[in-house]
Amino acid sequence: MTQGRDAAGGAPGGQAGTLLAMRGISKSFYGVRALRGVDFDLATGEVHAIVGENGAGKSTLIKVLCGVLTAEHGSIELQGRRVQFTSPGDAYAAGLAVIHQERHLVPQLSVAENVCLRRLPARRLLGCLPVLNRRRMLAGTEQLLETLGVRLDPRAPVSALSPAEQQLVEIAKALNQEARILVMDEPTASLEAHEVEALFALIRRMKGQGTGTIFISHKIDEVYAIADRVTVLRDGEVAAARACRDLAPQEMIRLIVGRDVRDLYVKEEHAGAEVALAAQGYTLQRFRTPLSFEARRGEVLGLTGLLGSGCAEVLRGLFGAAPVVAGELVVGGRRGRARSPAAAIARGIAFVPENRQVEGLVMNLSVEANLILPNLRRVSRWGFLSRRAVRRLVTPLMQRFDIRAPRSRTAVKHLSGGNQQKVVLAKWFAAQASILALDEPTHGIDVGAKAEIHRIMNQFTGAGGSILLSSSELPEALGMSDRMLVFRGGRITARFERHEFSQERIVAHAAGMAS
Amino acid sequence: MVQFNAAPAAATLAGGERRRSRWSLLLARYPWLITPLALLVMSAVAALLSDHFLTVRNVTNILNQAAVLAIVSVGMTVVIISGGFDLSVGSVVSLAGCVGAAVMVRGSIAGGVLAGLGIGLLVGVMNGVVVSLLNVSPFIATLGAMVLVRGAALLFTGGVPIVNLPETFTVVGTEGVFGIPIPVLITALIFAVFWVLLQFTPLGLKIYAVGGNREASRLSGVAVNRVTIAAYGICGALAGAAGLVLTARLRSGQPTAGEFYELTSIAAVVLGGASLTGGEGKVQRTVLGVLIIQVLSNSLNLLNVHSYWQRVLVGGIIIVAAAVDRFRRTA
Repeated sequence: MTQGRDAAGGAPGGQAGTLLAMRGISKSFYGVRALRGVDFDLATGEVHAIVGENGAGKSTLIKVLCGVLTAEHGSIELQGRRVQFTSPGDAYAAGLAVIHQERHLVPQLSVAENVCLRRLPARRLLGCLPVLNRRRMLAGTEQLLETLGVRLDPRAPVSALSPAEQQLVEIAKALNQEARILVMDEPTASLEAHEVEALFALIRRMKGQGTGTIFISHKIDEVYAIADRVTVLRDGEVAAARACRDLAPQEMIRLIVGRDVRDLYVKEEHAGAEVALAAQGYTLQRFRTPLSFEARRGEVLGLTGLLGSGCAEVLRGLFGAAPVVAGELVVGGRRGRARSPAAAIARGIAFVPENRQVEGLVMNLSVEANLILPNLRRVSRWGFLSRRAVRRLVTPLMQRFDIRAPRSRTAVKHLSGGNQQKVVLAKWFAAQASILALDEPTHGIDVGAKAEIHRIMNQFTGAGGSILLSSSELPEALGMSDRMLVFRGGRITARFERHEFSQERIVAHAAGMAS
Repeated sequence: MVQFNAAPAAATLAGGERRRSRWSLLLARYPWLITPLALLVMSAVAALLSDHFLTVRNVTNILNQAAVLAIVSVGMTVVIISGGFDLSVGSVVSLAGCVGAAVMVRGSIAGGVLAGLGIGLLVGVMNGVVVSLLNVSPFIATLGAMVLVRGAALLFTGGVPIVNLPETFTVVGTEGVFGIPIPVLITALIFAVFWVLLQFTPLGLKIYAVGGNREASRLSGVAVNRVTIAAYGICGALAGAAGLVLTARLRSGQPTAGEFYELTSIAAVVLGGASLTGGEGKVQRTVLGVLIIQVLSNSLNLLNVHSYWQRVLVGGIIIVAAAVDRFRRTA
């Protein structure tokens, strides 16, 4: 895949095998240093992971590499030749395939059209008119998907695919060129375990062909599973760059957060006997299977399953955000189900959605405005917002949740992912919710902020609240829950008490392979 | 005092950034300064080119002429912040003015005012219902309303202006208090009310929130449909109020009045730096946008530029302003 281009590259006498050398890269935004003298190397056929907390500079480094941002200092050499990409197109032409965290697909177009969008195969009609060569496009895409080990119909519109499938299309699109360097920014965030395995198999195959891979991830186990070398970034500087086998996981975590994190999942047990929430014959419109379960005071009830298993949908149903066709909900002794989020909030139910930027926060409003949004009644006097009441609500919340923002009027879009998630949690604490439904609360959040979110969860159950936790990250679900419900196809296939927890059995039930 | 609009991130522009002039530094830090500065520069140029520009009479005249557009634009600001926009305001101006005039001709001024405001509110609420509950795009919904309401105005009047309004009403368009025309005073009052509404009330915050992220607002317990209907209702009622003021100034209900107000008011909001994607915007900046448009056409009048050329220039300035705004945001 890389041949023919290698001949043109490779400086004579240069270190053979070095694909990429970034030296002394520095970049600042508004006087804040995002990167300080960062060095980064990538050898032919190497998988080099970059890890670090949110805001450590991982994405900035990648953006500098592929020409989205320009560094103030430093140089980039590609196979011994100094390069300076001024646009993503330049980087693409030089053989850099970048898979960004965000998806860049046209939902209305088919898989094949998206994959080939950058270079559409054309043929000449009547010898002159260039028209789309649909047959070649479909055949090419089919072949590409096959080499990736992905089973998808090239004709299917992207909008009909699951998030995980869309991610695979994104990868196929990036690989629809002669890639010498593959850059993946959190590629596994929305993938199932077996899809992650397929992706890793693909990376290994590319590796065998000499492609270098830059792999950015929050998931330490994945880094060990795939990477040869790892660079730890902290506060825009390289904290360590070592071969993976020379770096123990605990040591890596310490380097990432800059301090010791002894246990990833610190769980305090607060489960009481009193039932806080009981669902009886609760039936979601989407699955039409009656569900019955209950959550006790001070308990974390885990809901787990593969993508599309319905556990996230159950949370939305409880919160009045997804249609429910039958069944009853008893919260604090009161019957009847919530028909809208506003009604759910009035009954003390709060919901933290999976995608905080799309559903959890109004990004261009301030921290303060987001915090008071579900609590407007409490900060209003005579139909006006009371400055004093707002301050009395916001200031202690920001301190208690350690929300790191320059001011309470700073727009949440300027905050790091972990701090954004803390704002989402904090607003529900202010709303005095007694039931907290969390959908992937630590998705895409760094290790340090994760631990803080878990601490907040413990605080909440300690105060007698109940948490319904849907997490596809099994270690987290196991670590934080008192009991676990396993979902598959919208039904509960198994229930476990904490002392019965076993990763193997839960995975087996989730995948429908339990005996 | 509460302000919802987020302050810009700590933009200190200290070391590392390339050196910039003091002016561009100031603008980078306070981007909203660009609108008042543009207005000042335009006025200064107009004052240099024409001796008549900076006279009390002319300035009063500018404000008086800007009044109707300003009232419509305040309502438009509310709808645009909430994430929509309203093409029907121009037609509402004329229908509300005509219905109000007809009631007044039959003897009741108060009834006429109520009828005009009521018609505006009704059309606005209907727009809001169609957009939020029926999920029709604001463009299509209000485009339909624009044509429908204009037709209704023509039907109602038979295409003939309604004249012979009571003198006690038409003084609103001709008289002033301490030299300030009544339409300007009405505009100032409306401006103050909606500035307070947007900046200091729960409804104001909800309007910003729904425009910024509808789904997140819904999941925070905001009754998003109600907020959308309220925003369109406000816009419609203000268009009705503008129609009454226009009727007083023209001393008649004109079925063809108010044309292009929908577009000019959207332009004023955009000149004020609001985003058509919703969630941002301020009435005070919209008023500056209105003044820019009015000062421009006034000074072109003073300079004897043909009115056809005026249109070309105003249109061009709107495009340039929007492009500059985009550039500023992405830079």
